[in-house]
Amino acid sequence: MEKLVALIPLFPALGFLWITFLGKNMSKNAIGTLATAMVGISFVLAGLVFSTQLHEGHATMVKVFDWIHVGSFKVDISFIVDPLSSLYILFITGVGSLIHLYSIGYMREDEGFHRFMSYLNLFVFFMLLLVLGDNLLLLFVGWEGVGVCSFMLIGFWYKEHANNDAAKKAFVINRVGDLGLLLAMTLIFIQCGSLNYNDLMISGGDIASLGKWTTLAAILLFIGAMGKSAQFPLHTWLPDAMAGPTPVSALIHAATMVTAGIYLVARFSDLFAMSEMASQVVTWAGVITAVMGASIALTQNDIKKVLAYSTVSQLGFMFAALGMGAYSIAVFHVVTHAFFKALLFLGSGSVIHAMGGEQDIRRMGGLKSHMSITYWTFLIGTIAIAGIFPFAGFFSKDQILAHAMENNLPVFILLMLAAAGTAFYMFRMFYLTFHGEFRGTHEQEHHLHESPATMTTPLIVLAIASTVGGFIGFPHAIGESMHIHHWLDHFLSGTVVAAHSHLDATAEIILAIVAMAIAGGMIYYAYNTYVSKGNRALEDDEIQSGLHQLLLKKYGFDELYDNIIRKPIDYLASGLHHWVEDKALMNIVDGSGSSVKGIARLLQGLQNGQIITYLLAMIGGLIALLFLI
Amino acid sequence: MIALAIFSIPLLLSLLMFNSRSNSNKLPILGLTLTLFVAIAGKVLQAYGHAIALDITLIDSIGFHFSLIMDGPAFVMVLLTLIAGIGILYSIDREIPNGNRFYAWSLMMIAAMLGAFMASDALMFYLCYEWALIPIFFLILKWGHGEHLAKITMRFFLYTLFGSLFMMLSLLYVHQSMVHPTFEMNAMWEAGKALSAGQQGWVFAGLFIAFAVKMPVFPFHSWQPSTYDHAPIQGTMLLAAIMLKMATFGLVRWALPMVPEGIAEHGQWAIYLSVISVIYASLMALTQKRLKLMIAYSSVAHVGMISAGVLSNTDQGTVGGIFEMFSHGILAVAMFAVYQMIESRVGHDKMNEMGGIRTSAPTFAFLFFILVMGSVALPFTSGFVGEFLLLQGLANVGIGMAAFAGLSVILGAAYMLRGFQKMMLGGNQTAFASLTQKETLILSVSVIFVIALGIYPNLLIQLIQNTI
Repeated sequence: MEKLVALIPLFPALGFLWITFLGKNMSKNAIGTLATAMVGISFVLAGLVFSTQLHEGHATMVKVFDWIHVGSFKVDISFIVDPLSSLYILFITGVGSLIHLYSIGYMREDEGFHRFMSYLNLFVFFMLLLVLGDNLLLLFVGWEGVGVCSFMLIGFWYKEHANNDAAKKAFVINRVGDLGLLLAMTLIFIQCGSLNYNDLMISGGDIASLGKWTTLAAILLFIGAMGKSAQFPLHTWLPDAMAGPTPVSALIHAATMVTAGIYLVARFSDLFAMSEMASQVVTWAGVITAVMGASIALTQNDIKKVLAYSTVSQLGFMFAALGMGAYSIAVFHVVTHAFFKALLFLGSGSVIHAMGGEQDIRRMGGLKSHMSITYWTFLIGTIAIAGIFPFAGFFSKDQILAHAMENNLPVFILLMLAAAGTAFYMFRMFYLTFHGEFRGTHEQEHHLHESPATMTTPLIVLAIASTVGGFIGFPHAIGESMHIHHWLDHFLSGTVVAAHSHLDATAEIILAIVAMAIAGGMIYYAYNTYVSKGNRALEDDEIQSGLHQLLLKKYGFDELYDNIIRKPIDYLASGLHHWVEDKALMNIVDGSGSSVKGIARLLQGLQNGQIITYLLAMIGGLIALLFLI
Repeated sequence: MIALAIFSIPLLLSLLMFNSRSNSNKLPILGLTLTLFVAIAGKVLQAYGHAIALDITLIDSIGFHFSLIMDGPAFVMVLLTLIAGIGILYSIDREIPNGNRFYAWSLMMIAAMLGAFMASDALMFYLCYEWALIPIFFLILKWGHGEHLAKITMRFFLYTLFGSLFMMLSLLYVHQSMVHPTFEMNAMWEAGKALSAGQQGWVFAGLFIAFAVKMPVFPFHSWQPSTYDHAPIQGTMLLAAIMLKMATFGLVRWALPMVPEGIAEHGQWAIYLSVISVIYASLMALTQKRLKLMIAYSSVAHVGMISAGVLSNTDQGTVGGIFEMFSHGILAVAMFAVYQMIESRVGHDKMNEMGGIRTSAPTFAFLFFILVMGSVALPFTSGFVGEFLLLQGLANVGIGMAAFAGLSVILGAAYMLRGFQKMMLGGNQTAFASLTQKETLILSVSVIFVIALGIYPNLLIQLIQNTI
């Protein structure tokens, strides 16, 4: 059964090739169906592979062919089937096929429909390689591949330069992370002699040979994760990435690609568990990102930007969990987050679709009565991310908080703060969008409609997943104790270092109640502000408070990086160009008078056709010289 | 004898072309294709035990032999020379004035380079290395363009000629250290290794300066951008795709086996210089406003990486170096072909003054994008395999060194994507006629090479590691 795994990435790849080379004359329906079916078939196969793991749960390698063999350096195209990878492929193909289906409706009017579907297929292919590769180098192939797809899809509407700039920014900032990952690979290979997970961790344990390099290797890996998963200070590309079409934001920039960093750290949990310092770095980068993202989201008025900062913040929660050693809990949050965040993005897409492209929630309001499926599913997503029982987000977030309370009090307090912020900004957005009076133009109001079935069906499926998805976290929990048998924790225990939680059931229940009470309070506060009192969000020029402006400007990171990185590099480059390249080096070559004269004389010789004589003389002279030796 | 045929078919054809009135590129392409078949057949025969090497003693008293071998590295370079050579001549899409002479010089240059790659005699290597200069000198001077052409050509010529003298001195030094002096390869290697580390360091210094000028490596590169700019486009391709590889190949063939201790103990400066060159050239590429110059500096950056990685003297560095030489050769031809396609349609290559080409030429944009990805070393392109192995080799010298050189990963993405974005994307639209069949073929074949070698690099790696 595991052999099937090689077929899983194959189908999306075939879809990409088919659409690119044979799709010119196919109808949009045929293209859409083909692309969706390819990911759908992979989903079925992934389900089969996953079910075998449920019973056996050990790692199996499936080699396809030799890839790079140079001396002692041997890396193959080879896949790993284990609980971690099979869980990842399951939700990638599951959420992926729903988003493909949704795109058929969402992108129908776009002239680049063919191109769009082919890129989505290509993305899924690389994402599957990333998680299925049984070595770090193959992971890197997927890693860079999804980066390129992300680049192409952020800049999908390439006639607008703002989109292209956002795409380039995403790629270049990711490359900073990629360099970290490249160096980590290099270091690991030199010290441990292999890049295979099997040699390094699963059966070999060679990762221990890193010795004094352990912390450095872990931090370099984490730099890679920071780029891909938009962690402070490499987070600035993700909000800009919203320039891409909304299904892209849902698939790549919320559910799958941005969680690759969590996959990487979880995959190397053995390594991170060995370095206290690296784990601290991971924790604090995550906490800072969680708080920062949540605080910025409080002030954003673009529906997709709110969700983008929310994603940044939620990814921060996951890294905080990883840093504290709760690897399986972080992966759990990846899965639930994939459900509800994909749902929210697709819901926002449905809203944008109805609004004729408008994304500013200050121009919305009262959409509830026009699009009830979108309304109800969006509500479920919003409750799920706010962390209300029994929706998916509650279980995973609560476990992260519980783990923090036990291990690190400052982290716990900051994460509670971020969680409270999350409940507020999500419901602020929700109420401003769906409740109250419509604030857009008459023309927009006339145009409001529910989206077609290709779009609402994925919303409904994801809403169901967001409702019940949390139960994989503890299927036996209700009725016995809140802390019995974390099924997922157990399932992943063969792959990642297990988290040890000693919090007793009573404490956990109290924590859950407190967390929910805070979230509930925040939801009430948002309701009171935006529905009962009917307050509206301020226009940009009405904002007086300095803090509000700072948040609106996203703490000024873009300007800061421009001033401390981009401009100095540009100055350095143009300075070198002017002073070294054009002045100093040219003077050495041409400058001195005698050499100029020498050239002039040779040029005269040249004009007489004598250069060949010089050359022959020179070579002849050399050979004569040799005879003399 | 087969090795002799590989060397002499282009040479004889060149002499023939000098005396022909044909202006067509058909005969030269046919000749090179024939040579390519001979080379492949020869390698196959070699695998079945036929000897294809050649050794004729020319001057016994100094041990000067006309001797050719075709081991793995030599064969890969021969393949590159012939494949790139065919592509370069095929890319000519207009009547060239005095075409017969143009083709004759090109073929002669190819013959000289083939000789340098197959030489197993140090003096023969040196002579071929120098000889290749003469044809390219005339190609640039007679078919180049621009105001200061004569001055620029002269600077290029003298600079590289001057650099090579240091190689001669180094080779002679090793040569005279023998009891029975000979230039034969293995004897040279042994004699070199017998020297003290300090002596080896000096020998290496001479070799490296010669190679550094040719590659080129900062600060010996100042001849290169203007020469690339003013040369006829096929001349630029010959220089970038093949000629500079004589220098990087020289490091692998002559420097590493001859003076390993000299490199390890006294050669660090050369690695530093190469790594600085990578970053310096990347920064220069970042400031360029013209496509041709951006490609020229990007080439300097790639070659610096080859030099640095090879000098680590590790398996990964050596194999990665040769792999990257091949990959860079293909990419260089393709990138300059892209330049030519743009320049001939738009009338200039100022990137800021173009935009939106993708809308009128989607196929071109697609192929160009893959080449850009190859150039920034994306996995599953040939560029990645080479650069990754080189970086891996370099990390054996020091992880900090690898990190510094690795900055080119970021800078490369920045300047390449910026250039692509300016020319190809955006709303305003530069008029752009679709590619001709010939142009599509050139880019498609390059793209197939780039991707095939990226997905299945072992094909080439096994050839490189073939030590017969």
